[in-house]
Amino acid sequence: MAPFLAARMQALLLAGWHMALVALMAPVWIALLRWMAACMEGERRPPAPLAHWRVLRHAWRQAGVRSAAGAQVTAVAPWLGLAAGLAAAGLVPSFCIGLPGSDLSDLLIVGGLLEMAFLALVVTALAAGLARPGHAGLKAACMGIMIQPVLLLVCVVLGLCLPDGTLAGLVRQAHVADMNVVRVPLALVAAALVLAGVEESDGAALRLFATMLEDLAGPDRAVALYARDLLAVVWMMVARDLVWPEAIVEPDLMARSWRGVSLLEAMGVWAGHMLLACGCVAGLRVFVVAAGRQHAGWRAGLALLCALMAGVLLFAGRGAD
Amino acid sequence: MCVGLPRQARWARPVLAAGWLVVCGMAMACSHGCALPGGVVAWPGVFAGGPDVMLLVPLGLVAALARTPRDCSASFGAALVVIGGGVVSSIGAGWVLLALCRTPQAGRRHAPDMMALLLVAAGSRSPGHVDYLLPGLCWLATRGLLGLSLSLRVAPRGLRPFHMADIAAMIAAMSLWARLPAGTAVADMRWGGVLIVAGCLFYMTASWRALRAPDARRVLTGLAGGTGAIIITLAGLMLLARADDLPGMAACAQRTYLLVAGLLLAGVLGARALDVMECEAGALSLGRLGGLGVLMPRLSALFALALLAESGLPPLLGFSIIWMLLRLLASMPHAGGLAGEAPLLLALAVLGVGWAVRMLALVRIVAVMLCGRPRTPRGAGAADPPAQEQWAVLVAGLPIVLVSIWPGWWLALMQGAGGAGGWSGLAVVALTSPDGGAALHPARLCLFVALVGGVVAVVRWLACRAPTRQVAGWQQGAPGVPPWMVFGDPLTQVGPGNPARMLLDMVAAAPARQYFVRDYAHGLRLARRLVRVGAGRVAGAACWRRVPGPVVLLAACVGALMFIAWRGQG
Repeated sequence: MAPFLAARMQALLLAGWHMALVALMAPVWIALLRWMAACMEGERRPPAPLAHWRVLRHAWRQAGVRSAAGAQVTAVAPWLGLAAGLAAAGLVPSFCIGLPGSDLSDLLIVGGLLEMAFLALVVTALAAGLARPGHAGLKAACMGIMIQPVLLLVCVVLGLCLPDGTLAGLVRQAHVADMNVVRVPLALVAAALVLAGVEESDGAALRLFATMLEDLAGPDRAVALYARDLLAVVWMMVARDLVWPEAIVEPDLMARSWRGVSLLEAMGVWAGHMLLACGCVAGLRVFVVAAGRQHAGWRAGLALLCALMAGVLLFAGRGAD
Repeated sequence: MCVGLPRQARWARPVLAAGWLVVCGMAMACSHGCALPGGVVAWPGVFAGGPDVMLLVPLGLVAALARTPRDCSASFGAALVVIGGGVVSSIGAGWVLLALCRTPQAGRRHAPDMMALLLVAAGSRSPGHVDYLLPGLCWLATRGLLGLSLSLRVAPRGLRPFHMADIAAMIAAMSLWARLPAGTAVADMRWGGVLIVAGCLFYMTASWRALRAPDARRVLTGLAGGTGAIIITLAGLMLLARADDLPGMAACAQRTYLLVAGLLLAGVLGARALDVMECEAGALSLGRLGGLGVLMPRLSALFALALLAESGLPPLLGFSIIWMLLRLLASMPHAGGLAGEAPLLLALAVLGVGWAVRMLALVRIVAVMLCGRPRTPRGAGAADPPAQEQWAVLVAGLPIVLVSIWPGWWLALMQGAGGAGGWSGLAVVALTSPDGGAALHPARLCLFVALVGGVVAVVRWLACRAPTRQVAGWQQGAPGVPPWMVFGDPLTQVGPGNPARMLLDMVAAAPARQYFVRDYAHGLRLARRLVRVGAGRVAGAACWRRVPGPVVLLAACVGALMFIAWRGQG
């Protein structure tokens, strides 16, 4: 009984630490991502990791204002988005597995929760019935909804690589098997998810989001901004887990080594990988997606192509075997 | 609904509802092995026993909540389909089709369905002769019941409004598919593949119709058409599993089929909520509705719950069905290599696009109906109905919540004593993939989401003590509504605010689309002229509207030859 309880306590502690780490670092990653994108576009300024936290704090301290029409919906929708985003963040492993919800870390569940968070933000824009935010919200929904075919294809591709289709299962498999065989399809899958899911990879989507929230002020606005950052960061975490699953520590591995060092090392690796992911997203925004700005379906089409290519590579490899 | 049974017959409604609930209870008792002391009068050929009699449970719930004579009539017809043998079930399905038709023109469009039903009945009386044709005939016969169509048009004559009768029709169609006899392995395999591909296409077109429908009931009809397409896909998967002798996949497909029967309960909740909304806020045209989320918050929350269950987002039942369907499609037997997998990838892409369009249709209906502000004086006067009505809608929503959280009890109930686990299946809380490798725990998922939601609610309560100022938008003052405005005007769904057009813009730019449509129309005209010339009719003759007899004969011969060649290869 005692080892069982100890394992549960350890899992709960790790889950709390994981959630705190992700929740605190989400605006930091977004600030660094924007700095990287600015540098790639030619601007020269020092990084300000806490800049986005300051924006959020400023928004939180402002007097709350919302449109009288649909006020009850506006009051709830950003918080719903935050809840869905946090639930998804709790399921995606950052530096270790073995957290309480690890058997729920199916990619379809994570993707569905993130989609729900995204739609809650869209409803925030639509709630007041105002023209500009409503139009922007509808357009953002049309652009962001294309994650769903990508998600279905990705889940099937992952289902062929993995026994149970969960991210925790992927990490476990990475510790016992050679992942280099499926590294390229997994990287393509990660690229597809980042392209379709992360709005930071598209300047037009960012402008749409700014328009969606322009009539909102106070804590509701701060929460909506934060939920959006969390959304982008969780998609990036999913992509990172797909590309480098072996960097995540398993609980039984931790038991064999000195725990503190192992944990710190895993967190350091996570931070490094997330920085790299931020750089990749910034590069996508500046060099890839900006090239097809005239065509709204460019990002979705590219993501769908990446997912199809991942499936084709995987199946072609299997056929050759 | 305000317009229901005649006033003299109002007393009959509770009696009918009680009667249907008794039927539900009797179906459950029969299915789980209870028998009357005198035994059961067997009447083979007229009544059919078997596990699919349990479809009377959702049907009983639908019929107990039916409000109009048409819904009651369709429920009786569907009950005939569920309990009847081959001929009686075809008669019942025809009855349901007639109950669905609101105009003689609509009845004429269902003539092929009736003929297919006749052939299905004939096939059931002479087993072994036309078994290889039965899946196709059943597809044709359930076309009208499930709302399957490849048409993208949303004209009122093509897309009927959604009522309880439509749910009864879907249950009848499910019963017809569930009792399809096994044909030869080759025929079943081919029909299975055809049905899966057709289901994916039907799903996409139904979602598109839901996206473009002009009123709330027709949006729900589009969504129900998507559910019908999933039924067709599952029927194809069951045929495939049976032909390839894969018991694990067949059992998984059967469980998913029963879960889809549970998803119909979300339609029941949506239809009940719409009935009350129609009573309170007037006609359900999307051009007139708006702001119901604020005016009737409780009813809107229940309606949003039904939409969430239909949407396929976690944690409700729609998500469990998508998860199972994905696992089933991935476990399909296929040829090795890229050529064998390409159809699976394409089918998944089509299904995914259909799912995305369905989600956009839900965003649209939430945006127009529940968000924004009222657009008509009648709409502005809407409010939550009296408590009794609210309780009725809440009770209609209870089954779908229960099935979503704990699908084990629904599967145990529907599979009966002859099922895999019987009542021991009650303890099963996880849904497993065909190979048993992956498992989904809906109850734990719901608990997890509720836990995180509760934490966020507490944080909100603790942190946001200062009241938020509510200000009127500028549109609520004197200025007139500009024509480009997205919401707040009956013309909201045209112009830049049209999500269907936004999607098309993502696929191809507007000028390219115009060229395409022009070329398509030109090609169509050219093909017509060619057909006329080929048939020996000079272009411009007065009788060009008639399809020439030789062409029909030729097409029929070619079709028959193709079918013979297709079947003869096995």
